Amino acid sequence: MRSFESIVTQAGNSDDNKDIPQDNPEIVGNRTEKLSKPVYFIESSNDGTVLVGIDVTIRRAEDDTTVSWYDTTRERVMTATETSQEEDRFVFKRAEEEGGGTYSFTPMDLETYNNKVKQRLLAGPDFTNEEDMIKGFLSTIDDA
Amino acid sequence: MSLNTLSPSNEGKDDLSNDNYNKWQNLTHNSIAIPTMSEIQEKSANVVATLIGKINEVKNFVKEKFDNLSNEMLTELTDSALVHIAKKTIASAKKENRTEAESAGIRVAVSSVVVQGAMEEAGMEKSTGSNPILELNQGDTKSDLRDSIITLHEEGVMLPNGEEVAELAARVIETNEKEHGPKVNLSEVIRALNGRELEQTSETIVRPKAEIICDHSHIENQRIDIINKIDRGAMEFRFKLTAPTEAVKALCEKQPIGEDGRPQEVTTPSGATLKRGAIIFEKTSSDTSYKLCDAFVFEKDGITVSIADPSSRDESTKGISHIYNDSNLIRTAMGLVKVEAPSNMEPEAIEQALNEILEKDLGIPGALDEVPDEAEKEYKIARYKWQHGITGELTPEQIEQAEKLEREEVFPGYTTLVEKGKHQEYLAEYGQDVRAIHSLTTGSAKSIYRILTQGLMCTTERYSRGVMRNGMSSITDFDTGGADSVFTRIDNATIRQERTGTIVVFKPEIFDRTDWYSYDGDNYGSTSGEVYSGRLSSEESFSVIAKAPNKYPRNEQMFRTGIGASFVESIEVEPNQLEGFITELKAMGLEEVNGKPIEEIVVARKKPQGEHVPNLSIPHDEPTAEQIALEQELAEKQATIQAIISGEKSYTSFNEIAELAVVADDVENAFKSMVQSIINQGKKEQLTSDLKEYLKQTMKPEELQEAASGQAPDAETAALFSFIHDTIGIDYGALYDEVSSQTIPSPDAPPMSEPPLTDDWL
Repeated sequence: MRSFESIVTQAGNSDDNKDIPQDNPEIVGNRTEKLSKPVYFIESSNDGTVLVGIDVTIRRAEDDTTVSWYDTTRERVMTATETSQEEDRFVFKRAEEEGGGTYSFTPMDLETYNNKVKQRLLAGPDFTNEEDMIKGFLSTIDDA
Repeated sequence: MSLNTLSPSNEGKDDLSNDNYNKWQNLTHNSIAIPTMSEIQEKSANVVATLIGKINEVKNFVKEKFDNLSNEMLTELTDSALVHIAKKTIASAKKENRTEAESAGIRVAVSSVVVQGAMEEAGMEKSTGSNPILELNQGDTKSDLRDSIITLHEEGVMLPNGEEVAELAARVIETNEKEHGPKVNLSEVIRALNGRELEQTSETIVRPKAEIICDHSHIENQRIDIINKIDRGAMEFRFKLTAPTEAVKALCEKQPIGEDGRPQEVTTPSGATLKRGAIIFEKTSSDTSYKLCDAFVFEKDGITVSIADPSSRDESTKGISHIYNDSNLIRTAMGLVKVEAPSNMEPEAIEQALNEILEKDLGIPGALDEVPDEAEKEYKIARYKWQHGITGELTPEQIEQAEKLEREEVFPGYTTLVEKGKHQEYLAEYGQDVRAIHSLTTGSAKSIYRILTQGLMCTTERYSRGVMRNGMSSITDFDTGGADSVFTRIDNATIRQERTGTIVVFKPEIFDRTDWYSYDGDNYGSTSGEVYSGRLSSEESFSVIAKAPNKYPRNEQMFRTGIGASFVESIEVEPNQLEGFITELKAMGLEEVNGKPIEEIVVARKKPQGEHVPNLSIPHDEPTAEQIALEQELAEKQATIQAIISGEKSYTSFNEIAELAVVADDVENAFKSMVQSIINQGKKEQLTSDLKEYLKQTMKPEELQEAASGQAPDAETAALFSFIHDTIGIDYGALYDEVSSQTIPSPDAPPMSEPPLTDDWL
């Protein structure tokens, strides 16, 4: 779900409707929105440094869009040339001058954690439920 | 030359305490005459004349041996000869219970060096080398040097130009210590560290740490870190080799296979057996540990030495990230050597053993010796070139700047070379509001407290000092090399307004450090090959910001090891979180920081005034026409908000209300106030109807559903949706039902290729 500000910022264009994707170049001004889930699993076509995204934020300015998140050790910031959001999945294309590639965000769940994430952590513990797993990831914010 | 001239009489001062002197006076005041001032002066003149005579003897000897020497070179060679004589005289004497003759000989030899060094300091002699006093101010000769200076002071010995020898000598030592830091032996550092407890801040327990400055030809950053692992009964020494020495290469080649098909044992030069092990981080006072990489390990005299194998983790290369890392190595582990000694071992024994390991097994002789001036100068020049991205030779002006680099502690237990005042040049050129910042994402009072009291540590610093949470951090930055540094970004004040969450703003003095590197994009702090060679110099780091001042920064800087709390200028937080943070911090006992009230350090972020970010150019002095137009537009909108709130302006459409609310400083308050005013005007029915249509058009069905169930992405949205429901009477569930019953084509997602499966990265 988008924030209130994000929703009402579309009010300037009375012809707008919710069918227009958020990367509509007609939408002007700076808008900041956060993805609704606290932790995402991130995959990329050509970037093996991405894995976990916490507090994923999309900033849309007049001439560019940036996507930022905390990845359990540091903040990541990338320029997006295209974005797409379908249900809980968010995808963006990174600017070519930054290396390009596609980045896909899906909400972290236990299955994903166990199969794709845990082995790439320093010492990923076992979790019996998703809530504890999410709390575990969120606790890394204190080391930021 | 008569030694008796300089040797003290029985009523001299060698072991004369005040008490002894008084006693001696009472006994002898009638039998021994107290020397007059002129007698002291005469004695002083005799002493200096004698010593200068000795110096000239040596100088003449050198002159006879070498032809065509310049005066400076002659002086340098004379210095070397005098130092050699002094060292030899000391070495040949007993360490304790010296005979009178030995003591006298040492005093003459060492005092000659002191007088020679004093003459150079006074400008009476010029040398191409360093002052000879500094050669004796270390190791086994340091104590005798100090005794000599004290004696010369007590005797009031002066140079022919009237300057006191002891004062000049002390100045030489003091100047050197100011430039290089006082030279302390490793054993002294260990002893001091042994006396320190674990450092506890809030919930964090950190092992105490110190460093020793040492050889720079083989050891990265010229230092060895020493960590007191009190909780494990060990003292850890950690350093990185700039490149594998021949000795290390020989140790770390794959073990040869014997005739029996089994790996043969490898023995180190000092006779220890090499085994396979690992470099592990161990959490303080816990059984928890994490492996960094595999290692070659040997033990010697109770000391364990681990040489990292950065090509292997769990005996495999699998899992080492190759993105931003063309080396396929665990870059943080490259060159890493960890030496661990039991805490109950005598510091001198540890120092001796470590010296032997460094020399014999690792091929680094004299690693713990004091760094000679020439080597220090070389190091400063190399560092200056690295920091400023200079590949060729330095100009004389640049060399002068490089030589001015000073060593400063920038994080507890970590010193580096700084270029004092350099930040002022950057601010003058690129904007007084330019700062390095570090994002804490949402942050918490605990993390703010930690930063204000401990500063920021890089990943390897945290882990090596035992600070670990739950192992849920990604290992990627160990592979790229970014784990050795703290990440920051360079912002100006306008961009900072765009940020969300909690950010740490550092004082501009941080840019004086010479141990940071920078990229104009997110490169994960990589130290690998092509990526690293494309890094920005410090000047380029700022010019990148100047080119696009209103662009959200993708630059990154990596400051080695840590950033001390003293570098924190402020911590900017979300306005609605400020009060809570201040209350919590005070409850944790943090009322002030560096003499300033906590309220002046932890501050609310100033939000941007309008939708548009002013297009600021450098310099920031005169507003552009665009800026002026934007500000006028904003002022008009804010005036309209007030007019609606006061009832002066009638309600027209919800679109207008929405457009006005988002430019307000406080969106929630502005919206609520306008709505209340509209209701007071008797326009509630129209407002409700308009808002229903508006929400049906702008919100997705699932968003309406979430709003109906009370979900919201943030507190402000939750408050506003709740207000709309309670005050205007909007039923989100009913809207959802309405919308769901209609056939609305769902948008096609833009065609994007599916990202490959994770396994393709390995």
